[in-house]
Amino acid sequence: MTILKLPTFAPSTLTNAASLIRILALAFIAGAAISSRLFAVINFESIIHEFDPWFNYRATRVLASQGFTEFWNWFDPTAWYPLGRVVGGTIYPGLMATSGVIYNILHALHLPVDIRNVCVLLAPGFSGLTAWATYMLTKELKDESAGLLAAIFIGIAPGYISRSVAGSYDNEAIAIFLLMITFYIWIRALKDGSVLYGTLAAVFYFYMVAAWGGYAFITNMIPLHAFVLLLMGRFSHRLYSAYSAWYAVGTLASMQVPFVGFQPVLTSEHMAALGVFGLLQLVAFVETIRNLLASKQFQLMLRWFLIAAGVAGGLIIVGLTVTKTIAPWTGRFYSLWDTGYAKKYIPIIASVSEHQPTAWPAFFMDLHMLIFLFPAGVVLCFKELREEHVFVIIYSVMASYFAGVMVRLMLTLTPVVCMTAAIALSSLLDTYLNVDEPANPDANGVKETATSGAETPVDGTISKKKKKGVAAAAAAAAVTPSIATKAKGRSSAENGIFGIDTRILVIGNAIFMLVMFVLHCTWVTSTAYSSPSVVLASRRPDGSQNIIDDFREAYYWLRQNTPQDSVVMSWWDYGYQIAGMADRPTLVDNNTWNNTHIATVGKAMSSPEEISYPILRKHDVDYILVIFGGLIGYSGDDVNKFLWMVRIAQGVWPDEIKESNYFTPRGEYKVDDQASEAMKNSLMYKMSYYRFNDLFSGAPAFDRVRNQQMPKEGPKLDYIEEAFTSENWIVRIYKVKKEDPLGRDLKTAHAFDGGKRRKPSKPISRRKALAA
Amino acid sequence: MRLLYGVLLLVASLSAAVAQVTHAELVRLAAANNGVIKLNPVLYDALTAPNRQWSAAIQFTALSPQFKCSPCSDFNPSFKSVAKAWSKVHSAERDQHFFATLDFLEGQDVFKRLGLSSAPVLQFFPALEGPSVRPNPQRLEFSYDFSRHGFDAEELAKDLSNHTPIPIPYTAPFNWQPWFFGFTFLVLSLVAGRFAWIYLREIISNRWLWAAATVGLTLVMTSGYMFVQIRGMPYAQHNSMIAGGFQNQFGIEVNLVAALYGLLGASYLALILLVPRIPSPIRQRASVYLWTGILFVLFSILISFFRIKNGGYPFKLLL
Amino acid sequence: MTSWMQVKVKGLTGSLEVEPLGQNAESLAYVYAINLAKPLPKGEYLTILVDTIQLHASYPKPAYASQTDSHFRVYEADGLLLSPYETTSQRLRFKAPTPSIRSYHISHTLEDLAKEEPVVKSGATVTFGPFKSQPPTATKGFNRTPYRVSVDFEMNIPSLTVVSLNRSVEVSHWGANMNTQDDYMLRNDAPELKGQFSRLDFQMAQHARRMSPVIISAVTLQLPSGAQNPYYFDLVGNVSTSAFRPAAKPSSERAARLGPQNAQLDLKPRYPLMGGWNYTFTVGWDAPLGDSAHWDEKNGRWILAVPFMTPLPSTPVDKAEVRVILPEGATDITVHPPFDVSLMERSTHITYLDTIGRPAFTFHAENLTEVHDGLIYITYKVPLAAHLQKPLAVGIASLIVFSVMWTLKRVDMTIHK
Repeated sequence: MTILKLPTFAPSTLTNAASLIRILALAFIAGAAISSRLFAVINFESIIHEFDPWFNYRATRVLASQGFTEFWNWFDPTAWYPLGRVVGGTIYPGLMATSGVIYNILHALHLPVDIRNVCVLLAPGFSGLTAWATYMLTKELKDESAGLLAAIFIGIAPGYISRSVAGSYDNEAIAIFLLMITFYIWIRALKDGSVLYGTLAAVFYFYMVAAWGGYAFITNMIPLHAFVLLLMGRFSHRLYSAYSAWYAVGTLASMQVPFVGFQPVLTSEHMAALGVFGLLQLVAFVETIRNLLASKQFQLMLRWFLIAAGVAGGLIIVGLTVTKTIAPWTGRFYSLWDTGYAKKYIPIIASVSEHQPTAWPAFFMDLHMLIFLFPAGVVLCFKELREEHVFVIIYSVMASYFAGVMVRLMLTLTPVVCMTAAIALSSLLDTYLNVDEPANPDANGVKETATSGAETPVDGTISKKKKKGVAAAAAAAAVTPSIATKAKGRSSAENGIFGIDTRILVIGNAIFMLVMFVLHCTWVTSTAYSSPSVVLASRRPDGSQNIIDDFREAYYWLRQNTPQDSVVMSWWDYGYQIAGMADRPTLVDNNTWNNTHIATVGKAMSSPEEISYPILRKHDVDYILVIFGGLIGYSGDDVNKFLWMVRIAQGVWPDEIKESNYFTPRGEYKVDDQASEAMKNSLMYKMSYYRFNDLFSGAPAFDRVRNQQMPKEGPKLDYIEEAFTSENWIVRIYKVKKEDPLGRDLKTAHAFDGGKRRKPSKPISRRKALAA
Repeated sequence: MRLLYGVLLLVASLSAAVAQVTHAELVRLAAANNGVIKLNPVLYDALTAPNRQWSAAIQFTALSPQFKCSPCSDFNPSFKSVAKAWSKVHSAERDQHFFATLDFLEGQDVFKRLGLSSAPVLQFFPALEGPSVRPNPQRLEFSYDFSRHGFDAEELAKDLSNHTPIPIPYTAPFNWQPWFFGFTFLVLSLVAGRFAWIYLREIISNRWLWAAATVGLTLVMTSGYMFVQIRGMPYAQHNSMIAGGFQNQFGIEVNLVAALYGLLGASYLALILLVPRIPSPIRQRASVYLWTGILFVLFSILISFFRIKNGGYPFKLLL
Repeated sequence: MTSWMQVKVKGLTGSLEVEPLGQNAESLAYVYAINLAKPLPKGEYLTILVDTIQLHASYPKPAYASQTDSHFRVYEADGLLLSPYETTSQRLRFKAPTPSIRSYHISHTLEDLAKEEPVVKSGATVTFGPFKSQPPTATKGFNRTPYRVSVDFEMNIPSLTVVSLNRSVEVSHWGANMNTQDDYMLRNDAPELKGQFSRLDFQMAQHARRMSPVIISAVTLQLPSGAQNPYYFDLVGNVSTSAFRPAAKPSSERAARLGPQNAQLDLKPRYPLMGGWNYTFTVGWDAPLGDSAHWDEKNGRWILAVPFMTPLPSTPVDKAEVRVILPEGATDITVHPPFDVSLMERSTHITYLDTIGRPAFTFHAENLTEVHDGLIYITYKVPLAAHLQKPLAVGIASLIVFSVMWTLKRVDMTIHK
């Protein structure tokens, strides 16, 4: 009994058509995924975004121009002046290697694409691949139609777009694809018990290790999955061979990355994988023996052996951890579990905005309707509960916890949300797009005759086949091209939906929500996630776009008009940008490996001039760069970051720098008349507000970020002088004066110069006044 | 009788205060209350007199339940225990530094005078005269930074020790309770588990229990529970349930949002799993309409909720 | 530095041939030979005009100036002409850009040689001499030092220098397009900024419209009339502050008679160029090929005219490198630069989907000014096969890829069934 008579086709036609539609749909999804990431290029230009990507871009340029060996041995003397940085051994080279390979292939094909464009468009390109990998994985969980839905979800979900728009050339750009493909191949390996697939999973795992520090997520997810399967009593030889192949090859391969080195056998993050590997060997051994020996006593002995070996293994790991042979959890990972840890002990990690916990609006912003389809999909996974569903369930629990702790890890949550939401939505569509009606005890006759007339002449088997085809065609014609209903909904005899209005209502609602979702994604992507943050945009009163390009103005000035070897000091946020755009040595940068060095900069910024000056001179600093948003209201400026500088400096020099000194007695953070003495005397304050008053020619100066009126008397500088200020005063560069040639301290020298200059000018003006 | 005594004491202290509260009086008041002087405006003025020869750490708080100041009651025990630790110090040093507390009920004027609009605040007043004046005090007075140190007693003692005549000999009392209970619980549950294994096994291997736990966890996590935990956000504020700002939320919002998500997810599940099983077409149709309606309304509520948090959001439904 | 020299006979059009003979070993003077059209009979007169352009002939004084100061330069020169002949009378006239001449100076030795008043200043012109008759000066023993003159004058136009200019012109017959891209390196040769740059003072001066002419905050390029899709970027990306004014369509007859108007590209550097500051940037534009290429039916050849450079007003170019990239497969090429370039190279350039690469010509030249704004003429043939080369190559490559995929898909590679 169906509610709609559909035309019939030969099964092979249907299969071919469905496969064509699927390929087309995937191609369009990849296209949509790529093009929705191009807002930044269209609104601004093809430019590298933000901070870290600038380093990756610079490293990629070295790789592209000098080759892989040079890149591998690259020592960068301009970073962390005067220490320098061994770049080859302190980065995940996967991203640069990927771009380098693409660049070389294109050039070999006589397509001389600029390396910058390769870098800018790498993330959108890989998002297309991510959509495909998600499709494959979801297909394993449910069917192709769910796979296609998952692919389009991951393609346009803002949670993933936020880190993969054109220009955000960061490790995450390729890492999410690698995450999904590794998981997919792992599931395939597990399903088939295939060593080949296990090895392939290890190869992609290696790629992931080479590409992103977040590989530890895979390192722990797969063992956890294996462990849970073991606990559920689902040990099988498929699990054994897949896991052993993955672990053995994957671990050896991952140790080839210099930055990772011996960590896989020496740190706690990797011990779970090792432990599960050992456990699986034991279990497999015991299983084998048990099958061979039937003696009851022997079996008892075996069981005790298993327990003893397990305990012994655990104790060894604990013992090694206690004796520090195995490094404990590193701070970054540890702070995921002990959430207060970072704030107390590693302020640098806590100071990064993407390491903050996530409030609920961020979840909704990034995932929209998927966020509530997510639990529904998880429940449906419990309904099936095959091995791959167990995986998704573990993944969803872990990822939602991590995403709650750190905004940045929303990225790992997004794929699983997309998959489960796709399962839920595709189940809904399956149910309501199925044209079969259940047998109805009190049905009205009209419909019955209408459908039965079509069915009577065909015999049972054919009609079954036809129904399959019909359902498939219906699904294909509707939102998701699908021949999925093959396996599903066969029990339509008792369960199903009556009537066509109910179908239209539910499907209509679903389509409406999808439309809302697409609108939401487009809006979020275009407004929130497509700003390069190197270039700012504002609206003029007449509505036209005004580009604020102060950063590049100042960086370019540094590049063109200062000696090649002048050292620039700035807060670490801008280190990579200065190295990338201004091409000058920096003291600290976004690779925050040396806390003391950063604290030194923090101290120089937060101390009075006469204390900072020796620090600056000792570090050969020629120029200091500060970001000041007070004139045009750019809130991400250094005065707002200043407390972190103070805090980090305090961590190293608690006697000299005290955070509370920078607050008013009321405990407020002020820059106006009430600002504390320490605040007013700090180098940062002086550099930010130097001559800011004069700009208002008499009227009281007003800081538009902090909404405070500045004191009448602006700060004076003795040891440094203003060298450059950008058009909107966002970037201010100061030159550190050399020691006075006469051996005076610079304050006296400056006062003397000032006095000398003032003397002749004063009488003249007085005379003029008299004459007037 | 006791009440009367208290009143008498108050009167006595007031009169004493009027007649210039002496150092000895402060020492006596401190000793009487485990090292914490309970202040009123007069005593406050005396304690922070510009010619004081002692330093003082004053807690401004609002403990009475009508203010619903949960941080106040969170911090008070820490303050008290540090003050108590200080009261064990030898009197030569002890009497040069006082711990005192001023409740909003007692000293509204003082709060107003200082421009305090929130509580708790811990202010430190260094000695200004006499031998206790520290050489080169870095600042006159300062307020303790809760955002940095938190409400922890140990941190408080550590930070204040930089300013008291001698470090505060505070040691955190070893908390046996959780260990004891934990151990007992473990033993008991092991014993109980051994005997109730047959039933326990049923529970452990029940997938729907696990499903409920998993879904509950994901719902709570995606509703910003960890944000509330890490930031120590209050459950709600008396004038508003919804925190302003996109990157901000109160505890109650976790419940609201989790409930919304849960209901929305549940209505989808109902449409997928329950509705097709209803054998009667009429009842089935009714439930389809019902669940779709619920879905739609809840979704519009969610969006309007989101609009409150994110003012610039351009889409809306129904509300 | 002599950038250009032209010799004419007074009253006649057409210049005479000048032959540089190089430095004379004895007198250390650079000698040029001028070949007259016909020998001059004995006793007759001929007036010869020698025009030269000297680059970087003056220097700023003082060498450092603050943001608001005026800009003064000093021109120093020999008061006497370096000549192998006896000079009966000579005079040196200096014309400054403004009448504001701070001082002028003539050496005492030279003063004594003057026939009447040694120096006369009128308006913006300073005249030294005329001087008495002189023996040949381009001799071994002649010392020029006692005969110097100098003028210290105010400059009211920017002193910009293009330190290097790399032009790359790419011709595409398929797209009927000629793309020109120029890499400039600019330097402001005004007195160097004293102390440091103050944005505040700059903004106040800007506000009060009292900006010193020394500071350059914009330059204008005159592009060919058909120019379109201009772009302007530098090493760190696009510079958003530029304005393009396409050439007005010759709507009226009068406008058409005036000839094609130029399109203008106003460029605003990222930061105002103070004295001594550098700025590098790249500009480029497309132009219809028909504007500069002509099909010579008689010989079956293309004739291409490429401007050697797009001069900035009164700005010398110290070093220029112009590269013209012809279509792939162009043969039978002849090249005619507008003046004697110091070096010309032929190379092969490979760009999008080229198989054998395109012939490219690179011209190197130094010390150029507006007078060098000439056309490079190139003629070449392009056989039809060369035109079809690219689509064929792409087509064959795609075909191979697809057939390999097709074969792979249909070969069963399982080990056991």
